[in-house]
Amino acid sequence: MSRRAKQRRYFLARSDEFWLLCITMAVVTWLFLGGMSVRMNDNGLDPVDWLLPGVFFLSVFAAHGLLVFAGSRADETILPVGSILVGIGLAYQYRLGGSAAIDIHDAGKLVLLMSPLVIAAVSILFRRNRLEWLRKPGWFWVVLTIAIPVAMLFWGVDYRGSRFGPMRTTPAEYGKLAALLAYTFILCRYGDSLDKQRKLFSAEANRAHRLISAVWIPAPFLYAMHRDLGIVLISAVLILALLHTATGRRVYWLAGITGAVAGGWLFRSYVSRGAVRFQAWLEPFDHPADAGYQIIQSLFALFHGEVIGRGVGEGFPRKIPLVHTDFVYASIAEETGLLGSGLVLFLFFYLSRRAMAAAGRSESLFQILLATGAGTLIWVQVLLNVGGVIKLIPMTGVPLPFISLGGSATLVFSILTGWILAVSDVRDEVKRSAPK
Amino acid sequence: MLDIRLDALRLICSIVFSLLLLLFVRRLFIVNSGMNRIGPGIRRTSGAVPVILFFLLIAYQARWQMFGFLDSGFLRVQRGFDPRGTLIGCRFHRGEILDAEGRLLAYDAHRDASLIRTYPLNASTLHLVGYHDAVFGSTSMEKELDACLMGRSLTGVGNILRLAGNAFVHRKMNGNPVRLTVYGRLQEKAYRLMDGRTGAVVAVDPRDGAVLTLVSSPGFNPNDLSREKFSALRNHPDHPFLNRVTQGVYPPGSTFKTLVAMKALELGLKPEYVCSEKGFDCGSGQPELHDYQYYAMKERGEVFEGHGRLNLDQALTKSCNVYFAHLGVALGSEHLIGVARTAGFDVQIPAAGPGLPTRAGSVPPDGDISLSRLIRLAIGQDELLVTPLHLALVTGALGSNGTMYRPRYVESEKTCPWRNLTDARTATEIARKMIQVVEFGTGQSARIPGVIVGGKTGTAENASGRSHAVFIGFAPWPGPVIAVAVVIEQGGLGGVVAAPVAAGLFKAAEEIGLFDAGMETGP
Repeated sequence: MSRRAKQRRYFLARSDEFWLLCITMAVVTWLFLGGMSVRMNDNGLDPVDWLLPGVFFLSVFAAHGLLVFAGSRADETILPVGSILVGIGLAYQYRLGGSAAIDIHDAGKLVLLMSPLVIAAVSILFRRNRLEWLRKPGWFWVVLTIAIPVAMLFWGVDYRGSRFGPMRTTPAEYGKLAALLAYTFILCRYGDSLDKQRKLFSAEANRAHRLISAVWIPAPFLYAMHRDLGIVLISAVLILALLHTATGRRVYWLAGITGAVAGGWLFRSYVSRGAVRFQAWLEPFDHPADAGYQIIQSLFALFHGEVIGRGVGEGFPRKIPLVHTDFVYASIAEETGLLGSGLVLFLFFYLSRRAMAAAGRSESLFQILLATGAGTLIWVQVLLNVGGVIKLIPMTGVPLPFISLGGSATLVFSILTGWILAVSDVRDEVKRSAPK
Repeated sequence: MLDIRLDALRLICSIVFSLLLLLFVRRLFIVNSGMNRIGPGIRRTSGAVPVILFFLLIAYQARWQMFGFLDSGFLRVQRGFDPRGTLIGCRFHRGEILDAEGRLLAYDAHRDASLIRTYPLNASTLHLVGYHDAVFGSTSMEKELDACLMGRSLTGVGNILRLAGNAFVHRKMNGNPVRLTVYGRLQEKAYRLMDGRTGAVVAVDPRDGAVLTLVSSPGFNPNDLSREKFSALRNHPDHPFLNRVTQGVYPPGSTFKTLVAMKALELGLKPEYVCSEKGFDCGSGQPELHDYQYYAMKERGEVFEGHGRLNLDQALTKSCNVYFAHLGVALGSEHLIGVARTAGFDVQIPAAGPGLPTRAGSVPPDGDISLSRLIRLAIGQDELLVTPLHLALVTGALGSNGTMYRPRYVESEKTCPWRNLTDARTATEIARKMIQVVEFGTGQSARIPGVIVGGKTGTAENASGRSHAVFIGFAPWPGPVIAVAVVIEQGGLGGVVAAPVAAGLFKAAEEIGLFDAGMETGP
């Protein structure tokens, strides 16, 4: 087969992805136009602003090209879903912008524009069995999981009530990656003794339990010292999901829910900040001017949005404190309504589902756990952020993947999505079970 | 011109955004279904969890985004804190609260493009109507009638359709006005008569339990609440937030003698006792029980000669403690406690329809009690405690046919009897004695010209200092249309301090024309 014909076949194999990416660009461009109408009113349009959708366009199609040329057979929906979320995030940060939020002259922010490219590059780098590379330095991930919060304890900077790394980076985000790899490694190595076929508390199983606890407990504890409650919850859900997948036992979820209720009660009763957060959650209308102010403003924004929204640029995002990070979703819901924001929400859960589906098709336990873990990280962060914004659960200060402001977080989720894409690339298997 | 178009353009932008996203999602499903489905993997993944969570989140989001207007706390806070007030907040008018004559007690006024809840009668309706404020919450009838005032009662197909339509586009909504049984004019008069003294005035209609006046003093003006004022009021020694009519419990004092006399009549007892200047000997080294005149005259250096031989009529007229001590001994604790229970002193008063929650009073537990406690019980002291509203209901029952009605606050609610205090004949007999109290006895300052008034004074001793001045009364006779209870905390003598307040209220009621109506429909 000529090289040209081969390329053509590769392109046709990913044509669905191509069309989905075209729609992605249309969606993101519309949103940019809305954002530009706001910028025009605020401080005039900078011609450089046009670079933003332009560079994003190049990044998206370069990512697609990369996958085509590499002959990837990975899930065609993952890159478009990841890209559209990144694009919506970019457009919204631009729209919320003003002067402080996103400065396109800031090189750091260009990382965001490159996200689709990162997804594709990661997936090609690790495709097929090259993901197993990540398994080899297993103990390094374990050490890193604990080392990151310890280092932050010494070299961290406090800013606006949160702990940041030097130069206001967020090492905790990379900590999530390390934790995912560490848990996956341990469960691959020692998870067999916990299998459903065996006794739950055999001597061997207890050794595994102890090891897992020894790795899992210190990190959340250290993060709790940084007042980062979100990551404690995230890592708890992560380990439970991985335990469930590795062993097939549902009892871990049960234990986790019991632990969460007990932990929540302790947090509320013995931590003064906890009491305030619960108060803001349960009775915001009794404290509209202080504890409940933020969540109430968020609910007003939702209410104002109705079903079809007010129009991009017609909302009042500045009334919500911290709208760029924790409350972007409230602003999206105000301007695009239940319909638009619900679709965005759907995309997150769709991505998470695709991760689970990719895990389900894989034959390597390491890859299964990695994809399940990545999918879990996505849904749990969305749940914690959006749940907080709509007052379903107390606020935990967890950013919305891809959309909240933050270079590190977006990069981490791009890498996770890349891994999911890599796991979904089951080329040989597709060949074996030819379509009917 | 350009600005107007910008709105529309932006709306179109967001709709197109949503439609394109919809297209994207549809395409996702098409691609998905075309993908090779390979059987479930070797490991079970938690794939169902994200699906369940998505529906949970979107449903809860819709609960605010579409149905936020069903949440009264949300709408209340929206008035004060939503910067979009002019756009949305003002679309939700809260219904007016009217008095029995149709005067406004509470309404939404437009001020600076926002809605301000306004109370034209200021402090006098505070404890009855309450307030509805973005910061300070809502209280009293504003709280109890909330669903109706916001117009979100889920009754009738039309109503449900209207609310369902509102879920998609939040259109203007007007709450329903509510008409109370209270008379604003009486309310104002009562508040003025209290003149800042600490206490409570309440008037009910004996025929159906309609609340005609409900004033607790001191109050404050609910129209200009501020954070500083609020915290100052919170720390005020007189507790202006307390609704003394429904939440304050007081010893009934001598007003309880009407019930003791009622019990005696029911049992066929009409004894006569000699009430000497020595008072009533409680035995076992306890101090004697005296009449208040004994102390009053002693203070002036005179000698009280005692009431002498009294029958039940005279004893009630003079409010003779010694006589009722004898009578209490003759009746025994069982009957004394029994009559307090019959009157329901130890239970909360249920309202007919929406109404203010009340606090239960107290009655000593059943069983034998010492002689000194027994005679104190007979004069309405000891562990006996009751709310002013309760006293008014008892008065109403005595003035009419012996039935206590549930207090009714809202005009459209049906009358509902609560409990039977006594039979009509006994009630009439007691009422006649109460008329004598006002004509010749301790309650003379409750008299008003041209109207026959019945009443009973009380001077309730209490642990915290001076006695509370209490007065219960009804007017006009026959066929009373208003039954009143007045309590003035640490006011002194009931006949001197509390009775004139009742007289003022009766006069106001006559001016309004309540008595004319009463004559026409009297029994």
